[in-house]
Amino acid sequence: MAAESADAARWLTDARRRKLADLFGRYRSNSKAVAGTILIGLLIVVGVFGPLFVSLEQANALDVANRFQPPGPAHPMGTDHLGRDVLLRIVLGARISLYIGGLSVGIATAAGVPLGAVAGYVGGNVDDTIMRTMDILMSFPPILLALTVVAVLGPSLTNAMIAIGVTYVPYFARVTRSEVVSVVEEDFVEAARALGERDSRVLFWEVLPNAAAPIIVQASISLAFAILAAAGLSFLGLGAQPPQPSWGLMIRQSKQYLAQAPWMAIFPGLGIATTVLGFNLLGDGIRDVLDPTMSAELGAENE
Amino acid sequence: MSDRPTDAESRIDRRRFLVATGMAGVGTTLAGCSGGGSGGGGSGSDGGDGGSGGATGPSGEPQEGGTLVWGHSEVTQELDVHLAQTAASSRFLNNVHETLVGLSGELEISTAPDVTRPGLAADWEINDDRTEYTFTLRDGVTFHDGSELTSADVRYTFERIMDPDVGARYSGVLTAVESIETPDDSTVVLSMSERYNPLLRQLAFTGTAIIPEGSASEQASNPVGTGPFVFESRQQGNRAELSAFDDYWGEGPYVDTLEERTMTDPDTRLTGLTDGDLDYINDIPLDDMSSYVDGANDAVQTSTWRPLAFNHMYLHNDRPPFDSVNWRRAIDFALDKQELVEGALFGQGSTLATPSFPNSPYRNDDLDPRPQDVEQARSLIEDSEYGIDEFAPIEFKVTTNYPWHVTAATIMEQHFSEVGLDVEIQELQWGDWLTQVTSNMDYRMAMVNWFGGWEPAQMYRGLFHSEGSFNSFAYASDDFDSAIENAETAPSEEEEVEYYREAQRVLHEEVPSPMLWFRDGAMAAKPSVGGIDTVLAPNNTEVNFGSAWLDE
Repeated sequence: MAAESADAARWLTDARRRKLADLFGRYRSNSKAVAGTILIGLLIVVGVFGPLFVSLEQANALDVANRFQPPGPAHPMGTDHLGRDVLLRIVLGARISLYIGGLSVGIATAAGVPLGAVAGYVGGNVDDTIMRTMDILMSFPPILLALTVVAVLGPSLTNAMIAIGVTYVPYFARVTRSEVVSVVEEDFVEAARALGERDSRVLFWEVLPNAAAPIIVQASISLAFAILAAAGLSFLGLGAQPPQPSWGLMIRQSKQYLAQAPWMAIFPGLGIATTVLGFNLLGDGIRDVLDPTMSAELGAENE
Repeated sequence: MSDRPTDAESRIDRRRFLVATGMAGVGTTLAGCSGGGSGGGGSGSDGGDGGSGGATGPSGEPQEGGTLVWGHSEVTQELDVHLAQTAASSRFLNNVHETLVGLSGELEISTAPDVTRPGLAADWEINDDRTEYTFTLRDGVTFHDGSELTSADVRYTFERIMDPDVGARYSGVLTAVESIETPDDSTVVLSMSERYNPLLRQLAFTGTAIIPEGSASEQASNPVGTGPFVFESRQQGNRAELSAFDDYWGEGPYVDTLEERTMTDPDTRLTGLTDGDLDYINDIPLDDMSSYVDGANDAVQTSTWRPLAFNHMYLHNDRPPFDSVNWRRAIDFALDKQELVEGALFGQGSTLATPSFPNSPYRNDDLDPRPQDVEQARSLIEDSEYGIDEFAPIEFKVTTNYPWHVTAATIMEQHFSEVGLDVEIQELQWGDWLTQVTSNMDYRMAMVNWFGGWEPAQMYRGLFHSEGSFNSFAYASDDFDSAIENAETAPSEEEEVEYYREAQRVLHEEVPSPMLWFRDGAMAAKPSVGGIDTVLAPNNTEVNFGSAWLDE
């Protein structure tokens, strides 16, 4: 019995390895995925290594006498209304954006995936209870829900990330559930059950890995939305608080000075646009790569 | 809006909240004057740093007719002048109403009919111990409803203000009044239980304006007064219309219609003036000021004055670490206030040591703002009972209602970090700020502005007396309280002045609320608007278009 289940596991692993190699090939030939990866790669490089060269003190250093300096040799992206160097703040803002995206999508995934998985696997009243609750949450426009959560918790970047995370929980729950419901019907799940595996093991070791593709796509696209939403909250004064060099907050502060210092808005705007584009391209690319109809053809070939 | 745990607390909270809204909505009748008043730019007082610039208005005799469109910086709230808590409401209602006591551009109470803000009393007599005031009313004054102004209207108004059930903003002004007699139609006699020195000054507050007998119930929807303009209609948050009062007793009004449009966004307001159909705006965006004032722009005439308002910090005096005077002084020493004026106000202001207007006779001129001294700030904190990191990070609550507050807080955060203080800015919507800071006093550090300072009794008692209705600092100082109380009953004006100066000295020593800056006021108008220098009221925040006219 034990030996058989180990064999089964190895067989699955081999199949998955082959599939992964194949996917990687398809990924490399998908221009959207590659472009997305490059953009996100750049962001990660700036976000991870930028702070090694630029300190928060430098980015927050005031120089009122030199405010509204246009982009030039001394300040490649100009200075803002307090004479702070926009480039330094953009560099530090990259890390904040990554942090926002990562944490809020992390929260949404950590809560949404188990909820959706349990709903889809157990079914019945549990399914109804969880999913109807998610429907209620989904019925609120995301930004409104996030605003409410921030209003309750108080304005800060961390609270904004929690709020955005909470907002995206139902989306992850729904995607996970719909995938789990179909995977549960598969023969290998039946087999695992027949072998007497505990439900939790079947769910997390058999079902979920096979339901991962759409969740990954959802995560990548949600990263883009989360960064955009956090910028929105910061723009409304409910996210990052001054003097944090968050891109959303920088755009908010630029609003008053659009006529005399447009660079204060342009560069953080480009930062947000590039990041959102990057994650969207990556998400689209991954979806193309993992497209279920393509996978079906692949499966037919393998047989 | 806020939690209201017990009855007793909720009453206090509500009261605090109401008064706070008033203050913050931005003080109505408080506020001093200066050059921008009818005296014209740069009137003699040392505070009056006013002037006009840019294009000049039309010359010659005022012309009649036309519609003047005013882009108003704030939303008018309550229309009942006695209940109005916000500066926005009073700024608007000042066109409809008049008070018993007049006020000159030099902040002197006056009976003259031609001062900046004339009153309805043509004369008054006061007995020697100041317990009996006999007012003689101006002849030929008519209310908008057609009735003549008589002593009965004055008694009716004052009784309404004194009635605790009405909840008038300035009920405190008449606390010492024992009886109101009306021996004939044009005479009113106030008998006081004790001397109250600020009485006449405070009867010049728009919030004590005279309304016709029996009109209380309609004031909230249809304000009726004796002012140059008759209220016609209002869509709150959008626009209001006033028409010229043909039977106005004084000079003017010259325009047929005064239209008020609510435009809270400063840049939209400015664009509406330069490229749209606004004729007049109050508050030019700070960062645009230099491009418009002092002749910089021919398409716009401007008028500036100092000060419009003062800004100060809120430190919770009953909560660590700011229950320590060392900490409060350290905060004052940490700040480079000149940099705040430059950075947040674009230079449109000045530093201050005491909130009394520079031209106020009650100002203590011996006090100077503390200069930035990081070492001193550090050592004060070292000598205190609290460690510098004990409460880190200290939350600093700032409202987004005034964008330059957020800018200033950003600069201040840098100043604090030079000392080693970890301060965390929290941006709050106006309503949240008011609830958290003034109603619930749930804060350690905050900042806001106060539109006022010409009338010391209202400002100092309200803000800093241990029982003051605006005292959201939990500041309680016996020295300060007794100075204020003594000033109100002092037997001579010299002594009254001395007590207020003493009160300011105590404030400077104990620093319940570090003073940040005086902000300059500015208004702008199209070149076709005449009499722009007559628009600003002596309290430096209200406006009156009775003498403005259009060259068409």
